[in-house]
Amino acid sequence: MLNLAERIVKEGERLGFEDTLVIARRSRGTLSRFSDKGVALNDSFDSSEVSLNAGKEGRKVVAHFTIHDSDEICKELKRLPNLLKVTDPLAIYAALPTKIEKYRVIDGLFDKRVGELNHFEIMRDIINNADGEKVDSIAGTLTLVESEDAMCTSQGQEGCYKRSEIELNLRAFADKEASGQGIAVSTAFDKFDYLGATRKACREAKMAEKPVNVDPGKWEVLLAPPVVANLFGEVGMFASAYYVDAGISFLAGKLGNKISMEGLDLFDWGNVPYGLASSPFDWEGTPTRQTRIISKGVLSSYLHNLTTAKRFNTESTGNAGWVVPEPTNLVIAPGTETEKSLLKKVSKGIYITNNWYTRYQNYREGTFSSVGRDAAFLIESGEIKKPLKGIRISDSLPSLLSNICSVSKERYWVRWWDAEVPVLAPFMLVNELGITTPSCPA
Amino acid sequence: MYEEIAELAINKAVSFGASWAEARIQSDDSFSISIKNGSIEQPEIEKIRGISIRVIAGGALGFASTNALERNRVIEAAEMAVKGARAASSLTKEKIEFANGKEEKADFSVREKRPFENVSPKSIASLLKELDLRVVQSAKNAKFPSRMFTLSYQKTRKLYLNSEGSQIRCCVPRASFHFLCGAYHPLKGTIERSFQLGASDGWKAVERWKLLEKVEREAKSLEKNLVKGKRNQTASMDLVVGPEVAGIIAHESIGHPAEADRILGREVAQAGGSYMKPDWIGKRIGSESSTVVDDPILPGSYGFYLFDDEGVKARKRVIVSEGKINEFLQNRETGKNFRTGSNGAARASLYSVEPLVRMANTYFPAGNWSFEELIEGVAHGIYMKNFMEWNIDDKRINQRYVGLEAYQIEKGEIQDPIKLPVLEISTFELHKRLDARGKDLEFHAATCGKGDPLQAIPVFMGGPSLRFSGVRVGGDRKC
Repeated sequence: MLNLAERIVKEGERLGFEDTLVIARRSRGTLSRFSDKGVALNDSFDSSEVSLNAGKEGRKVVAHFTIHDSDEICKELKRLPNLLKVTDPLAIYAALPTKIEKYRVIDGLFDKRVGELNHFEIMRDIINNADGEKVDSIAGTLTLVESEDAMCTSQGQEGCYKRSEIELNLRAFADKEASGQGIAVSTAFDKFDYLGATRKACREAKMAEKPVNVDPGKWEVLLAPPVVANLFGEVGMFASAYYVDAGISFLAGKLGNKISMEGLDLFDWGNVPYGLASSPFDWEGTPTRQTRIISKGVLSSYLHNLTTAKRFNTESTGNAGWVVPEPTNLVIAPGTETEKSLLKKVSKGIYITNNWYTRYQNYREGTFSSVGRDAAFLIESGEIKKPLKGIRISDSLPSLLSNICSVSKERYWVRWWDAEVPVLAPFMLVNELGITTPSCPA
Repeated sequence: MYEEIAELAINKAVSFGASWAEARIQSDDSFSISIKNGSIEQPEIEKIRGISIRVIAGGALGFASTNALERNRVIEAAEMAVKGARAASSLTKEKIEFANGKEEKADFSVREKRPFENVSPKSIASLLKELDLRVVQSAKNAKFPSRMFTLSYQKTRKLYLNSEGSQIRCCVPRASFHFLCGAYHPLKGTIERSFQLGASDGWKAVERWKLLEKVEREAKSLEKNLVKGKRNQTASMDLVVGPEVAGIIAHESIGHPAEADRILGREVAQAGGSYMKPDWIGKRIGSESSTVVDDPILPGSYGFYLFDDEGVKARKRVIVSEGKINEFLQNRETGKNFRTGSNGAARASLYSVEPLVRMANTYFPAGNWSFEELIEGVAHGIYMKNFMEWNIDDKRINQRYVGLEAYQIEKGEIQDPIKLPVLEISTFELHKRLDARGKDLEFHAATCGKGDPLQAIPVFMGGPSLRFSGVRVGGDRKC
């Protein structure tokens, strides 16, 4: 892939670009959608793609080609100078760095066993194990991917790495209205606990049988790692300096302010070992690193690429996508509690194991709602009492962050269909969280 | 050349043991320019092209894709599809079969009277700058510190072949406009509006949208709502919703749950299941005013197509007729299962993904009531013209729509603006309470997500103004 990236960079130079960065990627793998009835579809994929960011005289253009023929890509590149000519110079132009970086090797990024696995055997294992858990049905997706990325710039920077990913998202169903979800994700097969995820989904589905409605209002709520991952994935996106600069982030103007409890630390960690989104460099060639977004409850940093860093008079945090800086892996520091001890703290509250469909009234204020999905429970006197249905978190992210009161030391990597940013997420106890239901809107 | 490659894929798949095979070569070329708070961002272009091969072998489905359109790589992909299906068959209890084995030949294209590609990027950037300036200058008492607008164009070309002899070729261009704007007032805080316009057309669509007038109207409405809007007092009342809200209701509470793959549980680990059950055809789920259709063949629509991605001729589908479920959205697999056949609802967003059961253009048809008549009949209520926040549970029962431009209705007249009224209600209650449909049918563009990997497809959502009697509307953040 590096040869391909180098060829495209040279073509960019030939066309007169001053700053050209190319990322070439090849991804291969399988995705299987399955249930206890069998495999609904087995999908094998193999694709190569080239993306480039090319700049000249204060202007930039971004191009993506998911086409295989490199001659055709070079032909397409000839469109770019004309496109550049007719656009305005950018308000802020950040040139690619001339300093040549040496990238660190990241532990656990590639496990060759992932590409050698028989995914049908894994699915068979899951189906057989679920069978023993006495649920009505299961359904899930199993994805195995091997990818190779190469990066090259017109300034002579280059790098490449391989990554493997293995991901299970499983739901189990019991009775008519009960379901539980299990997630197992890793870059390495050894850390891929698919049977643990199967047991969790089945156990929670059984516990969620015959759910009842709950009164809306402000509740003390225990959030399980999938919910924390969904909501903190959002916090990570709002930490992008691009959205802050655009005025559509609730974190705008809050740098240095206390926004959460003192014990809360949130990192973006672009080179964390075994991270599903780890890579040695970002999409501008900046080495990835650990950035404290929230440090002891205080908003400490936004996420930057070279352009936003110039705008904010700081340095890139290695979070460049093509235009917008984005979170890589989000890591929440462990607390001192356990899932059980957090539960014990709740005299009357709600336990939410999963959520989806988080949507905003107002990005600047962070007001949102998100729908409960899978098992949720009423907690009384520190114990799970009854399963609940029809709940929705309706609140704001500033309020949620300021009402976090405890975090567990157990943490799990979460990434699934509706939580795209990988998050190492703990259990979290939140006071006064707004819960609404269809019977009483608020 | 592409016919040869697609034929090769099918022939090889059959020779490897597939009892049925299809090949789709799809190319998506796109271009977009955005403006953020008055500054033009770097333009983006994208070109995606490749082939997918889907087969039935041993009673199971296999799918493989590659963007290397070379003989050896395509043969390899065909082999992978068949091998994958054979391996899957050992785990599959129910054999997969397809309905609609009819051979189809077609070639359809949407012609652009003024191709988007012929419009210079400089003109597009100039229009975006004019739009930005118009928004900034349209307010007297509020400011607009957050303004992000994008004009995009995508041309999708497909060649579809299957082992039954079908061959379909199509080319559909699509233009779209995204608007996100936040208004600010030092004493009143902030309010935001987001919407999308889209059409299967070229630059003529952009001219039809009259964007300068549209964004000015939107900016003024935002300012009015921010400065003068009051919170609603939670109560049971009559609610009139505008076409944009009608569209999202049709899409979320009727369209998605009518997707037969959801009803069969095939999508349940991702976008969810459905409250509709396989034997619910004819079941009443709403009032006689509740009729929802999905129509892919609407000319110029954002979700337009004449043949679906399984080679089945598209047609209008009446999902709910006068409150009763009439038909589900079907592909060839679910159509066999339900013994109805496909009604042409299979769509794939890119070459690399399988066709899924999808909506196209989902809407409440026009009724007999003028807008004035709908409002005249309300003693105390709310008119919710459009919305910002919305969501729904994964069975499509528990939904929430938060109005943006909204007004109090008193004694049959529209009064002061209302800030962020909340409709949080079950599907059954909502459709039971629908008592009148207006004549003012409109369509609004959206991008709908489903599947794993997530497939984003263009759709219209629409309807006329609708009136719901006696629904609980909140918004005061008290329960």
